[in-house]
Amino acid sequence: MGVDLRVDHPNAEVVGTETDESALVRLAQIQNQQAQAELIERYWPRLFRWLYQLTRDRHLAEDLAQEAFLKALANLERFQVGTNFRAWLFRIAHNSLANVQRSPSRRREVLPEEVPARKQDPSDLACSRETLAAVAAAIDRLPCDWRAALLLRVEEDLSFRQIAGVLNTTEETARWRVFKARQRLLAELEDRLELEES
Amino acid sequence: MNCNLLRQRLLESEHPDRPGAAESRHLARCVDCQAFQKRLVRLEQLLPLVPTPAVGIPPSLPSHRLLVLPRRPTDGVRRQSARHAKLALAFSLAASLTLFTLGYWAWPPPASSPPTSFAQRNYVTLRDERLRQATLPAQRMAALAHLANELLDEARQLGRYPDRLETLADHFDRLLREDLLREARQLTDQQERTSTLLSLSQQLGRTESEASRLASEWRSRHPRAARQLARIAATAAAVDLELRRLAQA
Repeated sequence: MGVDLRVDHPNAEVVGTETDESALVRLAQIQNQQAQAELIERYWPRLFRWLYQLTRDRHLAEDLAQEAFLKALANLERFQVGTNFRAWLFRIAHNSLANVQRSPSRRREVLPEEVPARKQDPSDLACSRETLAAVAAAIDRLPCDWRAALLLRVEEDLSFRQIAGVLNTTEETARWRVFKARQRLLAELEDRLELEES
Repeated sequence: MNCNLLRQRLLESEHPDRPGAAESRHLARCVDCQAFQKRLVRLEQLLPLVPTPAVGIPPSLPSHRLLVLPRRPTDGVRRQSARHAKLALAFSLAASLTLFTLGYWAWPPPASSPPTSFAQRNYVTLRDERLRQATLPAQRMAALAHLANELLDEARQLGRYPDRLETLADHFDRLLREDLLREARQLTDQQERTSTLLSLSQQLGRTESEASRLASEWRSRHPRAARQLARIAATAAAVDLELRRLAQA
């Protein structure tokens, strides 16, 4: 969505319709609320989705996403424009998630949820609901670290280096986690994917 | 390059759909590896389609909903600011009311026997009583939505009465999946249909959220009741989705 970011702050230069992330971040850094809102609207669904897939708890995922945005907004001046804002934001969220996982008192019990919402109609890619359910179940069975890395690679299109930055690990480890996750998913879903092909 | 090496390289690649020159040469002459690559690429196309709940931006974060900013400083600025102030005031009041209501709902369920229960009544009788005065589909939907709210109110008090809660969840299921959707399909005026259904969909979104939250809270204390609340949440979510589809049809 293009956003008109014209003046609402005396120091903000008129940029007209601006979709460039660096410009948005610069404006957000000088407390331009519209730019901050645009960043939030741009990344909220993606961050929430990632956190939900790691926690399987919508309320915890929502809390963590909210906490991540509040921390990011409070520390925006420390963000180095030109580097990847999304990776930085996801890293903040991952740190919060790690804190929750470390602290038994903050850990929440999770009920399995029926999830009706979907990003796109499966018929668009001619796959069955059964296949999607099988994929979802297989993802759930992955170790959380592998799942986190794979989803950052596939859904967020982050490089292994960026994934390493988000997950606070090395590039090689990030690559390995993606490798292992793909390998296991393929092994579990081989028959189903072959059926899809036929 | 042999097949094992090729497959390892694909699995550790950032872009398995874009193999390098050496990998491409192997793929060109190996049908099994072509199939392997195809499955891997297919798998990665499916991942973004895995469903997750849709959750809106919480009011604590800046959002365009509350930030309708002027394009340039004009005389309209003051009017706009006043509008923002009113909007902010309205929002604060709504937020306070919501917090108060949630606080009230979150109060632990009473130890004594619950008051007269919808769960002890026949669903059809209950429904027909509510629909007696409502003639138009929109009115009937409003009456049913009101009943759904009352059922949820009662559900909050039934943590220690899982059997009753199960009956209540059955009522809720019939009310939403059968009666409410039937009335929704009878709305013919497009404008009325869209506004009514979207408004109802928002209510169901809140119901789902509240029921899920309570289910999580009750899971250790009242596990059977928590399962019924999770059912209520799932019903609300499914019907919410169906109403959105109908609204956009």
